[in-house]
Amino acid sequence: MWSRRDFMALAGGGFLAALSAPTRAEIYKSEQLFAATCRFKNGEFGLAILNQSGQLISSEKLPSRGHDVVQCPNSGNILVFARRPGLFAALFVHNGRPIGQVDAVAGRHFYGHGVFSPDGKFFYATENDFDGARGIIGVYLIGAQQIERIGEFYSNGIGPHDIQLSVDNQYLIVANGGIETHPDFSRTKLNLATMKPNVSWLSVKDGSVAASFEPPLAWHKLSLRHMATADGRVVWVGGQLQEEAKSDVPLLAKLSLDGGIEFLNIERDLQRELRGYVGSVETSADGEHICVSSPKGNRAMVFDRHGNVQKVQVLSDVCALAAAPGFGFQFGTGSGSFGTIGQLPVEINGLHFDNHMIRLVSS
Amino acid sequence: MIRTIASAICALIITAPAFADGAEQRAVDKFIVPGYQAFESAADAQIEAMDALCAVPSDKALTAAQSAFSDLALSWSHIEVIRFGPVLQENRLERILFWPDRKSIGLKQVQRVIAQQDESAITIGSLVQKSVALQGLGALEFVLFGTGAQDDLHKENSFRCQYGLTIASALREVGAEISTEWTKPDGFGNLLITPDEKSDTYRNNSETMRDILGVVAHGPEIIFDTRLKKYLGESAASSAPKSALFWRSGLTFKSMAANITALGKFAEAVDFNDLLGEEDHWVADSYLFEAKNGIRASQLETLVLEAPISDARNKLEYLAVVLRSMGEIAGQDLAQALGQSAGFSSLDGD
Repeated sequence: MWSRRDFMALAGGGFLAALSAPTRAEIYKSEQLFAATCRFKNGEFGLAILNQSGQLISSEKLPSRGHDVVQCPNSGNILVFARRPGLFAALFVHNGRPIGQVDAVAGRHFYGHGVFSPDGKFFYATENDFDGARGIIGVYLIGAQQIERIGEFYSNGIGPHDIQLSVDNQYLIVANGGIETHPDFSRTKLNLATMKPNVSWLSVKDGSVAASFEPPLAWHKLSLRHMATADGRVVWVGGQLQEEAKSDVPLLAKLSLDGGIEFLNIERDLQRELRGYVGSVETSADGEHICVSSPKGNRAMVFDRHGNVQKVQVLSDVCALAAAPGFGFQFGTGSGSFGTIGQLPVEINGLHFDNHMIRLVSS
Repeated sequence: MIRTIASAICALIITAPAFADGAEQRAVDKFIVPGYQAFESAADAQIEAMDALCAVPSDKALTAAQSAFSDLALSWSHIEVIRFGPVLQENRLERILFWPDRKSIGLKQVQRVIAQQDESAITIGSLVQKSVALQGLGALEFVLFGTGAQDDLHKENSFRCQYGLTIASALREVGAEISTEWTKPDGFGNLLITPDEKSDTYRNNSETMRDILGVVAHGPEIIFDTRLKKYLGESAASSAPKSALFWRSGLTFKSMAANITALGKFAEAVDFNDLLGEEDHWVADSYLFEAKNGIRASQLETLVLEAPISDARNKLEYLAVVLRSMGEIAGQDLAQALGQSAGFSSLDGD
C-alpha cells in the first residue's frame, strides 16, 4: 500500500514546497497513487500521476505519445515507453520528475512495453527490427549517469507487445502480437493474411525459447497483445481481432509454462460487447479476478478466473486499467473519466487517459 | 477540476449522432454496392480480354487486355476506400491487392510461378489456396506489363496468359463474394442499416457512424502511408520510385486520383450536410474542397519513376499536405460536428 511517508521521502522537500497548499493536502490524504500516459488539453502527450480521488499530483510532457508505464521494483522509478513506432523510453522518479531518457537504436523502434529486472538494474523492452521483420527484446542497463542498451535477442515472433517476468525471474513472457509493421508505411499492418501470434517464455539470460503457445489456426488473426500476471506463473492475455468482430472468437486466455494456452469460455453476449478488442488486462493481487477493457466496445469487465463475469461497466473509450488492492480495479478513459470499477467516476477536465496506467507502489 | 458524473455507472456515455438516419442507407445504395458491382463488371471485361488474348495473341489483343486492366485497377482504386465489412473477411482485401509488398515477396512469388510454369496457378481452385500475393491485381499487372510480357503474351495459349486469365477469374470471384455479402437479405448492408443491440457488428448508430466516418477520416492517411510515403521519401535522394503501386502499368497517379475522388464521392453519397446543422456545413464542404485539390495534385504527366526526383515532386509534396488536411477535417472537425467524439483510444488502438 502506498504511504505518504514514502512519497515525501522520494519526492523531496523542494518538490512538495513547490506544490500548492491544496495539492499538498491531497497528497497527505492519498492512500494510493496512479501513473498513466495521457494527452493534455493542449494536445501534448505526457505522464500524469494522480491519487485515487483523481487529484492530479504531477504531470510531465513526453516527447511524443506514450504507451505503457512500468515501475522499478527496487528504486520505485517510473519508466514510460513510446507508443509504437516510437523512439524513446523515458525514466522518471517516483514523483514524476524526469531523470533520463534513452532513444531507440538505428533499425529498431519501441513497441510500447517493457519490464524491469527484479533488482532494477536492467529493463527489457519489446522492439521491432523493422527491416528484418523480427520481434526483438532490447536489454538495457540503467547506470548512474545513463541508460545503456547492452544487447538484444529475438522475441520468437513478429510484433512483440506486452512483456512480463516469470515468478522465478528466469523467463521473459512475451506476447508476440504477430503483426508486421515498418516505419516506411507508418502503422499499416503488412501481414494480416499470414499473421501468427504467440506468447513465448524466453530465457532472461539468452533469449532461448522455453515454450511458445499459439491460438488455434482458425483464430490466427487474434493478435495477443496485453497481459497481466499476479504470481508470475499464470498469465492472462487479451486479444485484438484483426478482422470484423465475431463474438464466437474468445478474447481472453490463460497461459502458464506447464499448462499451455486455454481460452476462457466467456458468455457470448458479453464477448460481443468487447467488439473483438481488448485494450488492457489487469489481475487482482490474488489472481482470482481479471479485469479487461475495450475502448471499441466501451466496456470494462471483471471476471473470475473461470470466466464468470463479476462486473460490467459501460464507459466510453475506456482502456487504462490498474489493480487497486482494497479498491478493486481503477480505470481511466479517453475522455478523462477516472474511477474504480463499480463506483461513481470523476471527470478530469483536460486530461485524456491513454491505453495504460499502473498503481504506484512504495519500494 | 473534478466534477462527478452522476450518470456514469452503467449508462451509455457515448454521444450518439442525432441525425444518422439514412446516411448508412445512402452509403450502401449510392456508393458501396455500385462500387463493388463496377469492380465485378470490370473483372468480367478483364476475363473476356484475357480469353481473347490467350486464344489469338496480337498487339491489339494485348493492348485490349492492358486497357481492361487499367479499368479493373481503377475500379478497385475507387471502392477500396471501403475498409470495413466483408472485404476484411477471408483475406479478401489482400487477395484483391496485396499491398504494400514491402520486400517484394509477392513479386518474387509471381516471377517464380511464371518462370516455373506452375500448373497449380492456372486453375482457380488451386490458385485461391496459394499466397494472396499470387491472386490479385499486383500479380496481374506483372503478367501484363512486367518483364517478358511482350514476348510471352504473343504466344498462343501461353502459360503466362492462362495465369493472367485465372487471376482475372479469381478477382471476379472475390468481387462477387463481397457483393453478395453486402446485398443478401441478412448481409452486411442490412447490418449497417439496421443496427441492433444483439448484433456482433453494430449495436447502434454511433457504431455505424464510426465506420462511415472512418472512411473519410482514415482514407487520406491510408493513401499517404501506403502509396506516397515511401515512394516520395523525405527528399529526392531518399525517394523510392519503384516502390510505387502500379508503376509498371503507369497507373500510380491515376490510382491515387481515383482513391481521392472516391473519398469525395463517398462523402457526397453519405451527404454529411444532411446530418449537420447549417452552421457546420462548412466542414463537409471543406472536405470536398480539399478532395478536389488532392485530385488536381495527383494528376501528373510526369513518368512515375521520375516524378519524385523532378519538379513534379513539389506537386506530390503538396498532395501529402492536402491528404493530411483531409484527415484532420474529417477526424477532428467532422467527428466533432457529428457528435462522434474522437475516441482517443478506440479510433486508433494498440
